[in-house]
Amino acid sequence: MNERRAEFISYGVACVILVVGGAIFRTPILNWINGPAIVIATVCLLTPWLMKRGRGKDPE
Amino acid sequence: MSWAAHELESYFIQGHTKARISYIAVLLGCLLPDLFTKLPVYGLHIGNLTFIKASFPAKYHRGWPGVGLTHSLLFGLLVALILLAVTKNRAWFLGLLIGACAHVLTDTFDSVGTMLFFPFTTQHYSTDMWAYASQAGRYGDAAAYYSSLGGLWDFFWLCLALSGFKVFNRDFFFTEVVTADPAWGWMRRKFRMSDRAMLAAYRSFFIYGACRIFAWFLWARFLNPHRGKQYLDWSWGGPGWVQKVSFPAADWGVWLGNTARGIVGCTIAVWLIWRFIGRRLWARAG
Repeated sequence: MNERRAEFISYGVACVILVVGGAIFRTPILNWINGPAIVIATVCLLTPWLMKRGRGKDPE
Repeated sequence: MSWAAHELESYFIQGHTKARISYIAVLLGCLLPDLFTKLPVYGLHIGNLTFIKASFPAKYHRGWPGVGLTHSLLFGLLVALILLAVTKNRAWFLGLLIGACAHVLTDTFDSVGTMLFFPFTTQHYSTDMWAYASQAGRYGDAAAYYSSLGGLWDFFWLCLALSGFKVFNRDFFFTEVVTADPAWGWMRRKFRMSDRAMLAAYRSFFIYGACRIFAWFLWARFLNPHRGKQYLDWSWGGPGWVQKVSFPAADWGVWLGNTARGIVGCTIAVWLIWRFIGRRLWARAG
């Protein structure tokens, strides 16, 4: 999986966490410190993992 | 108050300003009026106890006496000048000034509005588009906001931010945003941030602001236990089910007098501040 695609998926996951988690837990997630922090953490942790996973499945 | 517009307007400003401005300063400016003043509006809740809650949140937040002076045009200018003196950076000065003014103007759309020309007048300027309801508590306010035109106002700002979609591009970030502001280079060195982390930090407030609209709307309309009584009301000044707070002028004559005094006072003050302080700081800055 290339970096752009992995990043795109990571941002999508961050959106799902914020919308679904935010609707359920509200303020603990939807505040101006935790909200952006969730985005940064998700993108920085998930993107390399997705890329690594994608490479692992690559037959070449 | 606007629940997500302040996070989103920084991207709109970044995308539509021709001058060299710092994105971080714009964001700080957009958050500045509420940054150190918002906690007592809803209070600090620990268990069943509530601490440091203002007795009249609307008056405390937007009025005088209170911290309503943070929602005035001159406050943004003064803080931006202090920043110009400290950082000697014009991009930071302009960014913070534009961001703070954007926040103050955006907040004129609720029923309480802002004291634009404070300290020359304590007149509140408001379009009364939706009801200010912080006295109903954080969740009552959220339910009122996302059941009124306030939610549409946030969505309007989301569309405005998306209208300058280039600001979210990787290339735009590294060629325009990073080069305009030495703070990004400092953050990269200090925290050993990768390009991906810097880009995620830059985009994070947009993602957060956009998701905040949908999350609060979902909660207000589908998960809120009082959603039956707290119905969706897109009438001007709604929702009708919440007690609306506003500080209108006694009549149009008073409003016009206050406005004239405010505009004249602010114009003279800005001219004097710029003539004796701002111009020197600007010339000294790079």
